[in-house]
Amino acid sequence: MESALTARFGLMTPTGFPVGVFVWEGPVERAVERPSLLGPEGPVEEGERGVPAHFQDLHLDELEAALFAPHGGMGLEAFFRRPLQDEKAVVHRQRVAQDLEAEPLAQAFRTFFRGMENMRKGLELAEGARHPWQKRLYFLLAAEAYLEALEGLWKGLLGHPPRSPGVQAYRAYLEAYRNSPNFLRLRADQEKTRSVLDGLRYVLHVHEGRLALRAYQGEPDYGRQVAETFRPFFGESPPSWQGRDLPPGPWLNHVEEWILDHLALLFPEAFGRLEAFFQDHQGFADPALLRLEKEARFFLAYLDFIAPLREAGLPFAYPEVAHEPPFLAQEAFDLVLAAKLLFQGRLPVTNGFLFDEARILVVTGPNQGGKTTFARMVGQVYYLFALGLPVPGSRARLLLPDQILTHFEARENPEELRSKLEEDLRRLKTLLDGATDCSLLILNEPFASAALLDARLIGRFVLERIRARGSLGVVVTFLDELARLPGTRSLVAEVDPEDPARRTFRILERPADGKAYALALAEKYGLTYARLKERLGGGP
Amino acid sequence: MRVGLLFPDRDLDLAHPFPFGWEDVEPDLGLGDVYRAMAGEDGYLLEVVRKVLAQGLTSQAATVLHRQEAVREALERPDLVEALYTLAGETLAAKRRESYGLFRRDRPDLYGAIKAMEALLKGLRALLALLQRTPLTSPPFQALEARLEAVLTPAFFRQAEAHLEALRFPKGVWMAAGLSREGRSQGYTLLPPEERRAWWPFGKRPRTYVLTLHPRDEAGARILGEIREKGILEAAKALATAVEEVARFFESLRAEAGFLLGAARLAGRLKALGLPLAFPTPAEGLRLAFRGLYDVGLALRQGMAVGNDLEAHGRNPIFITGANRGRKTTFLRSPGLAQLFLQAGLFVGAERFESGLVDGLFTHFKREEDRALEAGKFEEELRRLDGLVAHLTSKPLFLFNESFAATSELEGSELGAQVVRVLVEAGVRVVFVTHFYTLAAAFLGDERTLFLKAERLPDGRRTYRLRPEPPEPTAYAQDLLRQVFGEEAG
Repeated sequence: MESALTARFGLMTPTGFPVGVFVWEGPVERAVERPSLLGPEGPVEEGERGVPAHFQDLHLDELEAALFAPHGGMGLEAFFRRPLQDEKAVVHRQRVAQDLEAEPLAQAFRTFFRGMENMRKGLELAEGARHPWQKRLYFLLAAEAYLEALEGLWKGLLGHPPRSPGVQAYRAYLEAYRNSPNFLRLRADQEKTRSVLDGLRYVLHVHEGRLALRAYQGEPDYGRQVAETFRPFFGESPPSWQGRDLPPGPWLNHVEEWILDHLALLFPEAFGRLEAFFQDHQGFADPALLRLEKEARFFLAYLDFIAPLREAGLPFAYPEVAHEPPFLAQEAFDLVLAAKLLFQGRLPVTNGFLFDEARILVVTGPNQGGKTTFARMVGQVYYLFALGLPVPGSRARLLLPDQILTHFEARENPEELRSKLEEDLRRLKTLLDGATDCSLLILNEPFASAALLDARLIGRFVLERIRARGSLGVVVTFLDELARLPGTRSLVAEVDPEDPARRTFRILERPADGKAYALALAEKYGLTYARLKERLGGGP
Repeated sequence: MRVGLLFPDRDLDLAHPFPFGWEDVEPDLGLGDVYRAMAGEDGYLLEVVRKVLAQGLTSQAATVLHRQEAVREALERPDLVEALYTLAGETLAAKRRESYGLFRRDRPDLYGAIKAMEALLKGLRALLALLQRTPLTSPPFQALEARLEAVLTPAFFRQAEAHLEALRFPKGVWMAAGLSREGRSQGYTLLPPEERRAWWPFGKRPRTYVLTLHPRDEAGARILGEIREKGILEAAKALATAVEEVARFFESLRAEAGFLLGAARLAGRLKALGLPLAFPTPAEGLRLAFRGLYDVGLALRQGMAVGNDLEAHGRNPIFITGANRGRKTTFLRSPGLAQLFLQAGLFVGAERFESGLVDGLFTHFKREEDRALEAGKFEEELRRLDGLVAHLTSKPLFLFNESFAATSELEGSELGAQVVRVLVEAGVRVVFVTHFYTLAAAFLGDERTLFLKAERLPDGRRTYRLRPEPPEPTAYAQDLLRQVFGEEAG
């Protein structure tokens, strides 16, 4: 059974078993517990995952693309799309993230990534090389990149000892691996082969369409002899030359191939070693370390993304796992929006949220006031927490949700036979049917397609159902009477008291007062009844 | 390889910039005639002479004495320096012809380098032969000959010519190489051409594989060409470097021989006029004494000149006052030129000359032009002076000619006196020509000040000599009036 790993690297175990979906148990792994950065129980299962339903609503699809653009092709999306159900795993990951926040350790890993990329490049070139000897040379290069990557990582881990069980487990693994006979043999063979190849020296004779090749016999350097003859004339600093040679492509031309072939005949011992290396060390990359690269990239992709936000002064926190309310976050913000704003040289307004006995937040207020962003932010914070990552905010204490269910306004599909309202209701029903008391529901203007009277009715109904389920909910709506239902907490998007046309993007706990701002706005523009009468010159 | 004719320890550097104010010093001291006598129509020689004179201002006594030896030889054997100058110029011209574009591409042109080196070797042979057949008497020339003899042995020429032959690679190029990580050849070193029977005494020939290209394999031919280029690159670089270094030697030779040639020509002109030349004694500190010192430039212009005597050790400042047409400018130019020539290791126009070495020469002469700028003339003078002071060296010679004449005697003298005092205290040697009695009089009480006056005989005639005499309140305008208006002036 071909897996992505086999196809990419051509890796086979010594027994000829392809590396597949089953977790690989090499001899070293049995000796040490199977390490993983993603959870204390060991590695998660591989394989692609579809995009979760709420990704688009919460802008997590944008976040995913931005996070993993620098790590293309590594399949990190699979990790991003699988939130945790086990709080021990959440803590495990949080501690790993904290370790990787330390710059020296992060740097060590980045160097490790680069080395592994070089290894993959070398293996690709080996795969694509037409000429057998060049194939073997690229293979050797790939192995060298791998050894160098591991060396760098090992030094980094020694120099900055990790504190999280996740990284510590890998360090222990790496230590055992470095002492394993397989690895020692790989390294010794590489060193010897490289040294023998580097020491080769041969003589080329070019004359009129003929090229002669033989071994070097210690002849002197003629260029130096020429320089010596004229040395008495040389002054303090003779002129130097800046040669500009274009780097050649990866493949050899036919003359170079001929040279390689005949070098193998001239130096059978050296090339014999190269051949032996190629044969003996197929599949040299240890799967656990390949897995480490993937997992570490997952964390660093996120930490690198939030680094400039941190530097700009925005807070990030590791939420405390809670089972009982209150569930809260302070000074949080929409991560995707914040990145966009920072690019424009601005910062987002931060907001907090709190769930206690009232498990439903009803958010009302003027349009464009930041309500939808707020709702998204709650969803993002919970989701990132469920991935074990630090979340936007200065402090957080959260329930690990079993699901996050969203209902944002969908575009009307004119093909649909049913009306939009019916569509929306059906969606709501699906949501509510699946919700538990550990679920988080985020509804953004779910009743917008209904007439006012209907909306009131439906709204009350839906909220009561949510309350009955005991789920956590964030409901953005224009119906401010919903904010007065039991089990809800009222939040309002603030406007500037001086200028009601200006939003502050702060969502504050306040009674819903849907109409007040509209009147103030009308006053400002001279459109209240009294003012209009004045302007139009009294009345009949 | 040093030429070493002008300096005991290095070669002339024409790239060195002129000192500050030099563009004024030249016309102020009347150097134009001197330059013409030395360089004639040769623009290159003119540049050389200017540079050597300017750079002389910072010379040490050792350099001066060394150069005087070379100049002596040049005076005795002018055809030798002429021949050296011509030989160097012709060799360089030949080299330029052969190696046009040598450095233009990003890799040196081997064939051009070979031809250029052949031209240079020819020049070296001729140079050595020229020096060897001339009976040299001065240490600088003898040392140059010795240096060349040590290097330009028959073995050297044999080896050099053998290299030039071999670098044409009549039998192809041999090079050593190693293997790069991707399987290419790298680290090319050029090897000497292989002798056919080199292996015989040492056992059998090592195993060799031969690739013969298909006659229509153009790509292959190109690749072989590239390999060949890489192999010869180091040698090509070495030869190109050698070409430039030998050429540099000839450039220095041309410049230094050129200067000596100029000196010989100047001496020739002065001798033809029957005027004395002397090699001066460089001294330290405030020393100045001469006999029969004349203005060399004036001599060249007029065909004759009047000599002056003076003994002025430890005297500073020196004021020159006197009659209006007393040729005061000449009285400044004579010691100025002499100082310049002394520092440049030349002879001076005198029977005897001794002076302490300075490290700079500044002139502040009255400008005759720009009458329209009467109002701003004084300001312009001050600005000029300010510029000079800003670039003052630590012990220079400063020549003032009628400075501050643009303003009233009272103000001009007050300012002048202050300036002179400060400069003298700072160790500057000052020679000041002025018709302001008040200025000179301000120093009457000072023992170290020397006052000179243009001689005026009792009957009013000028002798154009200087006499040590205190300043007089009048400038003998009487004499002038009488001269111009005759008896009318009474």
